[in-house]
Amino acid sequence: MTMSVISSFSNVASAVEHLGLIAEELAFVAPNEDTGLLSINRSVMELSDLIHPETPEPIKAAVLAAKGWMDSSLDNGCKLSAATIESLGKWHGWMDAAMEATRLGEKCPDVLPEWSSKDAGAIPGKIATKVAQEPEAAKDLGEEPAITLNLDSDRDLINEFNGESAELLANIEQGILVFEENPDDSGTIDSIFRAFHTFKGGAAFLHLGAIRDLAHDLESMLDAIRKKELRINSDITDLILAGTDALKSFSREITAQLRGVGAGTPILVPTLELRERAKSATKGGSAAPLGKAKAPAAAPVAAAPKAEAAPAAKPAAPAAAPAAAKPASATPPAKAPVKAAAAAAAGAGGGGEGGATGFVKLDTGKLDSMVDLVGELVIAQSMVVQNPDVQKINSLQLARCLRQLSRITTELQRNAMSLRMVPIRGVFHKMSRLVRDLGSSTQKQLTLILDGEDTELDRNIVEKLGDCLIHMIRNSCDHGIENPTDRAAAGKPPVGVIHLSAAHQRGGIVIRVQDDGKGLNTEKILAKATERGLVKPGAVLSDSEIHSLVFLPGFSTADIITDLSGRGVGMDVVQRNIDSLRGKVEITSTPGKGTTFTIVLPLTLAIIEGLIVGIGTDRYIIPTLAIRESFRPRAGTIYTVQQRQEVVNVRGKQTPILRLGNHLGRPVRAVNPEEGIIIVVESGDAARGILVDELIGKQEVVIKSLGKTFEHQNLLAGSAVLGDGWVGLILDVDTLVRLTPPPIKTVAAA
Amino acid sequence: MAQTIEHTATATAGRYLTFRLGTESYGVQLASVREIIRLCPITPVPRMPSHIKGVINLRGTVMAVLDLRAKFRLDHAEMGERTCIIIVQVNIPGSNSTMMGAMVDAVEEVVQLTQAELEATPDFGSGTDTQYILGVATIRGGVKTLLDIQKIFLEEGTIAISSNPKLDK
Repeated sequence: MTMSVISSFSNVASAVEHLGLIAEELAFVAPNEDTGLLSINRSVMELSDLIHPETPEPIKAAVLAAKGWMDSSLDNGCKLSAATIESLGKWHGWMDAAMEATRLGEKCPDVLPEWSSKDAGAIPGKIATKVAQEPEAAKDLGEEPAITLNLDSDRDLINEFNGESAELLANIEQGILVFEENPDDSGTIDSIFRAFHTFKGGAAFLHLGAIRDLAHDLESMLDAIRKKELRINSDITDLILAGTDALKSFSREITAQLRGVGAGTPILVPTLELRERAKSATKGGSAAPLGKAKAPAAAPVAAAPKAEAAPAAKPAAPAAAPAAAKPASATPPAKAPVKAAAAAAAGAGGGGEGGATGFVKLDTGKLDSMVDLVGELVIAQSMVVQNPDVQKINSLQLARCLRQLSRITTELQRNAMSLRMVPIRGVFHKMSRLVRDLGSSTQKQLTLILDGEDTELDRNIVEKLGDCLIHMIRNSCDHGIENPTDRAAAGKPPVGVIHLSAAHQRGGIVIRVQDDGKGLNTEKILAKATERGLVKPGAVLSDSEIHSLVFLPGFSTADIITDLSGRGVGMDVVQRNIDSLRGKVEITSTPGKGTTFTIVLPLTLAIIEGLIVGIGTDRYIIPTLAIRESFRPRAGTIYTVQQRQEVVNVRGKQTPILRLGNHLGRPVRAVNPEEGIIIVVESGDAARGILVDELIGKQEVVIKSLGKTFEHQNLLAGSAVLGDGWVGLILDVDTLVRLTPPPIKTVAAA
Repeated sequence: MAQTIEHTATATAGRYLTFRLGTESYGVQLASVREIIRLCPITPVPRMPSHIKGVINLRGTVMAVLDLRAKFRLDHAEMGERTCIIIVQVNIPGSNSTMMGAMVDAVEEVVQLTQAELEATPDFGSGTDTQYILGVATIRGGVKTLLDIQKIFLEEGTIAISSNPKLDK
């Protein structure tokens, strides 16, 4: 070994990140559930990819062990057993220690004996899988398993899986082509292996047994190739292709059912023969078709059904389907199952090749840059239209052309923006699954009511929002809603209701998670905060101040979860995520009645709607999301305190006034507040009446970074190019509301 | 010749863009200059040091503009017909390069300076800040001060501004 410190992974930073992700997921897993399984699995896969030849042996073994557990969990009905969770917890602790040791250049701690790679096969779960699979194989290709889609409850998940699988299959096929040219390209083998692995994970999650098993066997075979235990030959590539075709047939059939053709009927695609071949190849045997006569397998899998499809698909018409479905799922093969691959034939006039039609996968970077450019175009267009020289030209023809140009750019901008927008539905439906699972694990009766699923928002926001909602809904289920007996005692109906809604409001999106549970226990929260030193002993806080304490980082440690029957599991994570999306989160809670979390988010991250205000000759932009109202104060409604601070009554609340011009050190026109406009902004609990000279207008602006020069200030959140080409500065409202207003003295503009 | 020059950077032969600040003539290495634009509306950024003139919009990119007169504490002068902004590419160590503007009274010319025309910074004693000066050049009887433009801007990006805006707590 060399003198230099040997890094444990090829990319330590990314390994640490994945360990962190695993830790986060582990906080939420529950025995015999699939929560977190897929993300932990992905992180473990990433870790194993980061192993390089010089990775210390113990770390290698540990990662492989974790991979083994994840595999067996995926194989065993996609559930994490209590034992696995415990092992993972121990494993994570060990990995952390090991990473730290290698970082310091110390010797890696010894791996626990039960994890060493030689015994990898001896992991309890692994045996179980083996045992579970052997009998199937011993059946000598007995009955082909069929799969039945649970379209009622999992429609969206299936849809997602199907879309993803089309892409994975395309990857695999492309990989194989490379493969035939260059069988030793390890990158390609890895990518195919991963594609099958992802496929397996998705299928297992949706309980699509036949698909999962086939993907699993092919994956094992590829793993052997990856480890150089197996050489690729034409039989193997044929087998992979045949397997891909079979998976494609499933995919086609799923697409058809999603469109309502034969919905609910079991799908049958011959897979046993392929699995047998894969298993035999993995063990070093032949991958060739078993007894050519018996198997019209490889290529024909795709071809054969085509012949049968037409007659088979017709009887599968909707009316017959439900009736056929029930007995069929009870007695798997028999007569009922429709031979697969019907989609292509049945939907002959329809969508053509699978579910991928009508969608293009795009590089998000390209998309973002296009959206940016369209923003520029809109600015350039308005600069032309507002150009004084152009306005002087008295020509009907020109006016008509300019109107046309405006129409097109507006339309283009709307389209470009909508490219980034996706409905929130997908995230919401994952929540209904979460609630269903939580209900059964916590022995509570829960209903989730969804509202406004069609509300669209920025793709980037939707991605980050999912985690926040999971945290909040778990909180509501675990700590908010009482068990049925307590509910009965409190005179509530036994079924707890969680209301999840999304709506356009206040120029943004408002998402609410509302439960009818017991509400936050302010006393306990305050006691805990005082104990943790977050609040000074004896401090008097309002209820809403106390509620917002749960967002402090100190409130997310494990012992509180058990001690405190209020909330606080990872709420700081929620706050952080929402902050990074330039949104806000608020809690209101009534003891005994329930708790409501309100998240207000901007529609998109690239554009904000801003109020343009004038101060002297300057213009500034205030994000409308933060603005509650604006008004011209009447004489006598403003009072001074100690001759230094001013307050104004806003709907019954005395609100401090911040003279923006004074604060910015810029000359103003409105020396008396009555000559100006007060804009009430709020952030968190704080509010300020901001005095400006005038309101210029409301406009959607494309946010531009101010660049390096200004990265160390917190007064401005960014800038935007306004319609006339000038740069407008966007004020950071968070900073404004926390400022002590400077003394009242004012410099009048010349 | 002065022996007390602290900075290691010295002027090298090559092409320089020269410009005027008042009656004085300065030069910067042409390699870092991206373009020269006419004076355009500058949005002032509040609570910044006076030599940070503000921000401009250069074809959709927002960038900071520095007033070199204010930076060198020269007399204030009205912006004239020939006032323009030199756009400089600044390479920030460990990060992407960024563009910034320097406002000058007038751009003169691009000159090719040979080693023979270059001279190290004279020793002005402690009264004059020479940290941004690479050296001086004498051409056609006139003296041009050669500036380390990267250093001027880098400082704006890191030290000068980070320490400045202390907001009221």
